[in-house]
Amino acid sequence: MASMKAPPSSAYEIVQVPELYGDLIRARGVEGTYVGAGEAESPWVPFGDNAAIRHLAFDVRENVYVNILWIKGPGVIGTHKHRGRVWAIGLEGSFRYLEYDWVCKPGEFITETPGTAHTLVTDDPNGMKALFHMQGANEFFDAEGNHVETLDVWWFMNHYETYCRENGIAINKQLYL
Amino acid sequence: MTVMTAPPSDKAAIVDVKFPHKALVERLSPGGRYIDAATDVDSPWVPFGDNAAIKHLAFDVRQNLFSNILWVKAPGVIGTHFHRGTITMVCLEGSVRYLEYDWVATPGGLILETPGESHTLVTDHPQGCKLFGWMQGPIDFYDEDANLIDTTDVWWFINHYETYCREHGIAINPKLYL
Repeated sequence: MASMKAPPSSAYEIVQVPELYGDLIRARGVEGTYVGAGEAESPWVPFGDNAAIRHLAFDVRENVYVNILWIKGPGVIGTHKHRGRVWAIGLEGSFRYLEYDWVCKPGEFITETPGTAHTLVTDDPNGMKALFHMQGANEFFDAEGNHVETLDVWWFMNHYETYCRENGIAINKQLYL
Repeated sequence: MTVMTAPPSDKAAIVDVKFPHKALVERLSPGGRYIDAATDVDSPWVPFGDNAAIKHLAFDVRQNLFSNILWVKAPGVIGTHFHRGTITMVCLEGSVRYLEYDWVATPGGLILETPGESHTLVTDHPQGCKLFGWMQGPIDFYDEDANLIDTTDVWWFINHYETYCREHGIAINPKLYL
């Protein structure tokens, strides 16, 4: 079996890691973030009548956005095309795409790649929740295949900030990488 | 003065780095590579309108990433376009500017562009410009009335390259595909 060479540690203590550039990192580096589970930290923002999005991170340098999509009952997210990549993990319920033969359930993992277009469906009576890590543009189409709108980090940020403004919720800086 | 802690070496000799996962790298890494961007040996100039051409250098379909040299051959314009990814460009020849900014890029100059920006590229130089670009994500092009006309991304650039190669009996160069 492959093993890690680093010594196992059972000590609950911080080891001072040698760091030549500590001052630089403190001055110019960006801290990691923590977003707790509560709605005070990031609310469920309605996304149509049957769904909501809980925004977790925005990276405007990479056009990256991370959120939890919650579809509350059986429903659909219409056909959309990705021009960036997507990583996702199922959290609750189940969802599938009309284009593929798998069903993503809690704990299961999927990727989507630039150039793919697909139609998300949940048949579960309780719908689904899944964590999505997305990069780049996400294009939505009408029933005739006409392009209607392109969503990217700016759309998701506006979705979050508009809701916060309208509901008197403070913007959580932890969401901005 | 800051010094590098790695020992200076003037020995032209390969050091065998003991990376423990070499076999995995050998099996799965696409590998680095050299593409001759100065001649047409690795990649031809593919016409891009009447006054411009593109030399395609790299495509990464996993990241929607594409690299090329844009050559605008005489004073001209690349119309207003909107970026949803990050762009790194180096001016190689001539000069280029954007109507939106107050700088003019000259050879050796570096241009960075970030998601959410739109701008209009102009070269006033009699010989136009050559620009090396390393680009991620789609670029949306608009008409005069700000209607979205076309979105170009790695697939558009691959198709631009492959169509020209097919039409001119040029072999597809697998080195361009990361």
